[in-house]
Amino acid sequence: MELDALKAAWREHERKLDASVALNLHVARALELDRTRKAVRRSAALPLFELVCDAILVLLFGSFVGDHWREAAMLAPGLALLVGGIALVAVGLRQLALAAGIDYDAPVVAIQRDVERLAALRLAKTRAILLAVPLVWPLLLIVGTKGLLGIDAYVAFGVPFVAAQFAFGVVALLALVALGRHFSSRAFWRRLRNDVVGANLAAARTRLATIEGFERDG
Amino acid sequence: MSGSARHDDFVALITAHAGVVRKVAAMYGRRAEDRRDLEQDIVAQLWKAFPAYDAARAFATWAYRIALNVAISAVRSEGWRDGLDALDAAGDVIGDDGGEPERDEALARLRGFIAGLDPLNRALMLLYLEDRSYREIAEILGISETNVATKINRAKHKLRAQLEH
Repeated sequence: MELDALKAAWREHERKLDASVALNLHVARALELDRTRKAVRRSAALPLFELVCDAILVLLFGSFVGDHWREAAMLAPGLALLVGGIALVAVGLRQLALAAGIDYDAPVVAIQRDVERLAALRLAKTRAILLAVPLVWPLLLIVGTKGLLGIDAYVAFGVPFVAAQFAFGVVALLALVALGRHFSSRAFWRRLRNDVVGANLAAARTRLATIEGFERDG
Repeated sequence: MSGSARHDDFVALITAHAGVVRKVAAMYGRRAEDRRDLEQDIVAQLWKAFPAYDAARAFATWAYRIALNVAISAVRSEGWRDGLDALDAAGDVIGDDGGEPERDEALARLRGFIAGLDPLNRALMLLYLEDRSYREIAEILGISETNVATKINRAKHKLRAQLEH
């Protein structure tokens, strides 16, 4: 085969390859977008359920605060739980708004930015809940026993016991972080540790910063 | 130009010239993973350099220059065993398209020939096969047109000799 004919054959081959790659990219983009859309919809189901639960808790804690407005020992834990509940509702609404606002006709970079924001918010919420659980427990003990059973925890269990629950909360929080670090080689603990210490969140934020940097005027 | 307008211009140009990125990555990346990384590195470098791009010049020329710089630097710094594997893989993408066996065999031998070249001569062959003018090749590679002509002639002789055997 002559060199010129070979050159023409090479260019023809490359032209076909370009057309094939362009078609594959189109199909892959459509498939990926569809997968992303479904994944985001699935991920919106849990926040919706959580939002309903959080809203119910806000109503219960609000009612408790209203009933114990003049009792500082009951009002303080009730208010703390109410504020926490309202914050969870706000985050839940934000998550749903972000998921609903994703424009799948936008460029891939824009979609990735929105999905990454959603992931970062979800991780921030998970981290906050994991960190708060040990400290929320004594608040729930006080509010729960009073609200559901009509029992005053300070009287029934004694102030030292309630104070010990707060101390236990702090110790449990430290233990959770330490255990996560110790068992970091196991996948579950690694995920938990990453959520607690915020490594996943940091990674999501880095990816988000990269995507935004790509779009930003450099 | 606003950031958004520049971004849109870049996306339009890179989409229209996606073949440049693919061809350069296919020419230098041995494994599929290397080629994907290389494509990302090239696009990132093109984006970084885009503010300096002069719209009066051909985008493909500018893009080839940057893409080849990125690819050759990657091959040299990361010590990829680039070569036959990459070009074979690139040739396999289309597969049997009902073409002529003689042409396919000649193309396979051409790929083998290119794979045996050093990174700079491979760039030269890529641009030659893409039918770029000597002037453009010289501009992309940063050598004189005479040098381009000499090197291409040498490569053509070697290739002809290899194809005849």
